[in-house]
Amino acid sequence: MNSLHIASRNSKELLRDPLTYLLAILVPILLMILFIAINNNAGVNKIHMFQVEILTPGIIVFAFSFIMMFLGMLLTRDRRTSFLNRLFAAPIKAKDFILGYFFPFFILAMLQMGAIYIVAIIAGLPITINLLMTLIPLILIAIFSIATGILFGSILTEGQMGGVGSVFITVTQLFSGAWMDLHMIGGFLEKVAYALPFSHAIDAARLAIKGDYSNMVPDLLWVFGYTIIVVILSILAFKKNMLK
Amino acid sequence: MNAIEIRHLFKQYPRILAVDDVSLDIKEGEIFALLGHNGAGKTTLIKILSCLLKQTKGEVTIFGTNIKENQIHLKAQFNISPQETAVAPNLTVFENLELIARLYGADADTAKVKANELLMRFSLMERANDRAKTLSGGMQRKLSLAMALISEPKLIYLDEPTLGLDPEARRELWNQIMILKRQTTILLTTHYLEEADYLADTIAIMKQGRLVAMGTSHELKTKYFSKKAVIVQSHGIHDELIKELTKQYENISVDGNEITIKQDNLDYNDLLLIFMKHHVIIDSITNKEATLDDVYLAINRGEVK
Repeated sequence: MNSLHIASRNSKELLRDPLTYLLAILVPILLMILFIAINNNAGVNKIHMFQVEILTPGIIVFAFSFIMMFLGMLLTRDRRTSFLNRLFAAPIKAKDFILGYFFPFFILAMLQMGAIYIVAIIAGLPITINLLMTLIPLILIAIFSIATGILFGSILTEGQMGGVGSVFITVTQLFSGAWMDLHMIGGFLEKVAYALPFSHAIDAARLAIKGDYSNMVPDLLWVFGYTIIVVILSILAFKKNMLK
Repeated sequence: MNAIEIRHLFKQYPRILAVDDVSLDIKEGEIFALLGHNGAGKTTLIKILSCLLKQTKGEVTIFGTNIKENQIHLKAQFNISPQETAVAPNLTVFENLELIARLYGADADTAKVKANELLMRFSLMERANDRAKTLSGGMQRKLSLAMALISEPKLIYLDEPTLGLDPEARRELWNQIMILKRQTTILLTTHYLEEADYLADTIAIMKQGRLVAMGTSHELKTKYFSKKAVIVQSHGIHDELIKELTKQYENISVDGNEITIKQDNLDYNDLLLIFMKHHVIIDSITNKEATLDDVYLAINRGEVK
């Protein structure tokens, strides 16, 4: 039950901040509409990366990067103001805290994904069973983003978190292949991009949309591996904060 | 019965020994004040007692339970008001109170009743639906204390509860703390000596992680600062006079038109003769009893051991 009380508090903090709606939901949707509009106006020379079935997973992964920043900022602020110390002194187990921070941001991630899918479907993305299969890589990368937020929020100061959050969003944007073809960039940058989990999550979701499930496995393993490692690190870092 | 028993407690950080061999007992129902400069180890000690920091060495028992054992059970018996106001800024005043009540096990109805009681008691009812971040510093401190009380703890840690408050708000918070006296054990840290003097049954002074003095306010004043002070005010103070006074008395200080002489059994006739000899007219002479400030300053300057 305690995790629900903490989750309820964190949801209120999140929902009462207008930046949540602006950055986490409005900006990705506006970007999506912009790219679709550019593609529609491109006449016969359609831009491959801006095709709705290619673009949608990329926009979703980009939207999740804001979750990492919001969660990190909330956690560092709670540490700075000693609010977290007040909670840590209460008779609550570590798992309740972690779930209390996890749940609201997971629900926000699902809302982001839902909103982006609605726009995509309106723009012509076919509704098939394949969309359900995209949930596997996308939920994994959502958990990765939340765990990264808990990890950085547990070890950084509020000031550092702002900078690191911005870097994380930029890295997600540049190295995920969300709206740039990584094979065209090639070389070292492509290698860096494929060493990170974002591009694998997007590629797996694109394959799922195409119904090419068998080729998803290597990409899924990358994302799964990263997610497991970051989840473990985030739990260790958070627990270290509880009793130094 | 002792609420807290601390034996040979140490906290070593990589570069600092923050708590250095501290042993003390805090009786149930008393207000115990910890005094000390910034970095003296007060907050570190409170963090260890509230299970937020692990001690390097030593034993601590709270209501008979070792703090290394069954922390969830132990935590249910105390509550804290940290140095910072530690409120959730985007929750309303009511929601902040309700949240803490729920986290300490109250059901939804009980949490609401308790929150309303504390809103009344701390005169926060009018601001109940305002977000905590819109409250003044003084009101946030009141809310912070109310949040510490809502679980009806047997023991409360108040880390500098009146820091940065104006005298009126401070007095109001003192009154709230005084209401708790005898019902709840309170360990508070403070920089304000008059706060410790007014509130505490027992005062302990920490310096560089060590406990250097402990006792009631009266005990500290008599034990560590037995010398009485005489303050002489005059507009004719000159170097020759000061030179002679310095020869006669060990402990004198001059501040503008004021000379302070700290000495027991001072013979006023001798003192007056010195002033007459140097043709200095005395405006006033006053006796000054030792205050906690004197004790604190003397200990921190190393004037007494």
